[in-house]
Amino acid sequence: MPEKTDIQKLLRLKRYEKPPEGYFDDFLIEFQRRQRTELLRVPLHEILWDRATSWLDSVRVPSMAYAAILILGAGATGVIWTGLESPAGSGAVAVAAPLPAPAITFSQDPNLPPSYVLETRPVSYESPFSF
Amino acid sequence: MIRSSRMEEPLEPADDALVKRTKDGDVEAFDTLVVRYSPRLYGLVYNMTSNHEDTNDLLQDVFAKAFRAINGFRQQAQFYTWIHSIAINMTINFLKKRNRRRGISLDDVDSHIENDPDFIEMTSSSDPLRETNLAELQKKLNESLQKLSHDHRAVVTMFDIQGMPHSNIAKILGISEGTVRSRLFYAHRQLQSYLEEFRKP
Repeated sequence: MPEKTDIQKLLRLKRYEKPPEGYFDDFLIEFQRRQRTELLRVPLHEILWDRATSWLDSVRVPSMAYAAILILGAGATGVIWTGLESPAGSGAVAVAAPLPAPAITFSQDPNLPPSYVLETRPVSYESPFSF
Repeated sequence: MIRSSRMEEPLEPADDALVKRTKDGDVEAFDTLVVRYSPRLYGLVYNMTSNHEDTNDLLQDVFAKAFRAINGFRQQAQFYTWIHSIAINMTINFLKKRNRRRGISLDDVDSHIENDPDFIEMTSSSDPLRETNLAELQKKLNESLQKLSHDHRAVVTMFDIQGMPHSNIAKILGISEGTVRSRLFYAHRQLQSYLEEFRKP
């Protein structure tokens, strides 16, 4: 039976098993190539978001501008949302029904300034006891 | 650049400094860590898998994972321990999934082995084991290693092949030094029995 020390000596000799020369130089190049490839696999929206945030960092936008943009964005979203919530045609509910155009009579002479004569009596002329 | 006071030779930046620079966005600092650790980790993964191609792929994945996770590395442990832990865990997970029929693909033996005292001693005796052809011996030893459990192979690789102290192995594997010694004992005993047949003329 081999002695334990023989086993350990044999195992220690395994240190001499080495990859081909230049392997570790190529390994780093391969690592860098894989990193770049992995970067390309990042979804487009993440890349755009990263670029947008880094650009905003670089232009040094005042902090209040972020709040203003946020409020504007929220407002725009609210308007769009309201439009989406109301079905087509039902939007007319919010709009006052068009009143009949008052009848207007013009004076005969076109050179004179127009004078308007209302065919209905102003409400203010109504007697408070007339209803 | 840090210089030693004694020899005025430029010193390599410490791991901690390289980790900090990597966290600050210096990708080249991580490249330095890759260059520094790839030979050590290659030995660890290679001796666990006994396959050069698998080792290459795994090692790439190990460094990629470490690079992605480095911001979460709190430096309470040493980078050495951390990267070895990643490597050993990924290798064991890989071995659990690997097709058992996958063949062994060994590296060439460096010619410097001929100057190694242990090699000279083991090849210059009349013992049957010592007269064995080196390539055959290498193959048999690797086959025997593959018969060990993943946990036993890990401690044998780190202790016997890579020469790590018990304390480092314990930290990397997250076990006690007593468990390391126990696993080594059983692993050596198993290897002895596997190689016993090989000794028969």
